[in-house]
Amino acid sequence: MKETGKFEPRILVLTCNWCSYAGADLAGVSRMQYPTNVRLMRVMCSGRVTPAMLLYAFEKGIDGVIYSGCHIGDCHYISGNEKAIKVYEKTKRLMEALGLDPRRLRQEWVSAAEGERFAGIMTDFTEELKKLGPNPIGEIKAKAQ
Amino acid sequence: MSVESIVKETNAHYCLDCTICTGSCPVARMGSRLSPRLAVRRTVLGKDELVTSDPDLWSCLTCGTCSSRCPFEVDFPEFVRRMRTEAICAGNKGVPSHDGLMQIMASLQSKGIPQAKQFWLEKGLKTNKQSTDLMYVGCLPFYGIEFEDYGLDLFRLPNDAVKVLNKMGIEPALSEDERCCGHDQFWRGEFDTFKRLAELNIEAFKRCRAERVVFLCPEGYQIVKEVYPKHFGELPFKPVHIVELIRENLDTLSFKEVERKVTYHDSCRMGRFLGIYDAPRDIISSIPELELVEMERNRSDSVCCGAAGWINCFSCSKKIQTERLGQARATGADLLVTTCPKCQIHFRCAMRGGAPEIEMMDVVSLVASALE
Repeated sequence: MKETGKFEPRILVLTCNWCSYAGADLAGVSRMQYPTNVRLMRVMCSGRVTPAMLLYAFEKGIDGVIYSGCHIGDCHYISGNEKAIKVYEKTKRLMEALGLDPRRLRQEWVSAAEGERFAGIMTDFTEELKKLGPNPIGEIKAKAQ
Repeated sequence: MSVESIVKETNAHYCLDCTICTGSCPVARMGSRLSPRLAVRRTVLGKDELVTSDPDLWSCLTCGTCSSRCPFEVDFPEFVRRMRTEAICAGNKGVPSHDGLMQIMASLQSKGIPQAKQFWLEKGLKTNKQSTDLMYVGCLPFYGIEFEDYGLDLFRLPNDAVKVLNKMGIEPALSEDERCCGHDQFWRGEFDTFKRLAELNIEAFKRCRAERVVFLCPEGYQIVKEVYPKHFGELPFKPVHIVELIRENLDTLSFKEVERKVTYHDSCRMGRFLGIYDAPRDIISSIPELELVEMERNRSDSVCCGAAGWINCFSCSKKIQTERLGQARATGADLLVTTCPKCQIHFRCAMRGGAPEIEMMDVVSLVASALE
């Protein structure tokens, strides 16, 4: 990253075990191309994610987080993704008040059949983050080191 | 060496093993293994690693009931705070509540990035950037968002506070740069984060040219009034709690009749730490037709709301809260008045889990609703 001097955002993607992770897997086995800025982390359900987890990633200096689950109505645990919407909205409000750009957090629904859509979202979000620039927290951390 | 200084500076070596502390401890009474006596005793006898490795060190509420009754004034909350710093070094950490959200938010605030926290301000309320009276809201906007689904409207308190201040002829300044006061970091023994937050706050107050800083929360008030000067020198402003300010200016306010029976809960910081017992009671009594009834345990005997510092909220916390809410209900009052928003959060959390229900309100909101 430093050698080229160009900003390459680091992105955390939280995917649910049943839909989005399988969607990411499909993108992989179908050999679709998407930016390497993405780090995947699998959780059992999008409803398991809390505001604390999302803010923790930003506190550690990550530039963007995608928080992905099954489409509404398709949740393996019936209503986990409906809970996830509330968490997402709450976290966005907290981020705004704390001085973090809420556009750095995005919620998407990706099913196991939507590999192409998954790759598309990753490309799109990486481009958006390149325009937004680095997370100010990460910059402060880098300076301190 | 450092444990030796903790023992000396907190009077722990005066301990005569009388057990009034453990007998008074609300956590110990609910069946926890936390024992102030044993912790002090072990440390004095040089077995401090038994204390620093004990997970129950994090169950202490730092409510100060023990030291307020101790015949030799052993400062147990301070003892626990400093032992916690040692415990963290030894790898013994508390269990954060709410997934550690409050700790993460405080850490984010300590980085010094520009915030947008004064979104709660309603139209029609007067604030003035040039004012030398600054109103400090601290973590309240963040708690307001987090605890909205608990059925708590924490944005009401700062709005009511501005309303009452306006009525008293004060148009307060608000600062986007103020941070969390660091109270919880301080009591959890995380001195570095506390120091960063405190320095940012003092800097922000200076930049606003504040001569007086009005606090809405007893925890913030206590920490800024008593702890900041100890570590960062004399403050260039005067901290004051809104309850004291209202008490001073009661004659400028006129109230309508409120036919209700209320009871008042003394929070630890407001009561035992700062000794402010009468100001909130005077305010409540000055509202016509409002009847104040005391709970079984009140003033310096008051019980803590059961959780502190966003750590180790466990079954004992819930038992303490259930008992306290039961005491409030037993008075026959239909409204529980507090001065601490965090007490309200913890009590509301217990009510969601089946504790006796009672309506809660901050003194400031009570005053605002009774204004003519």
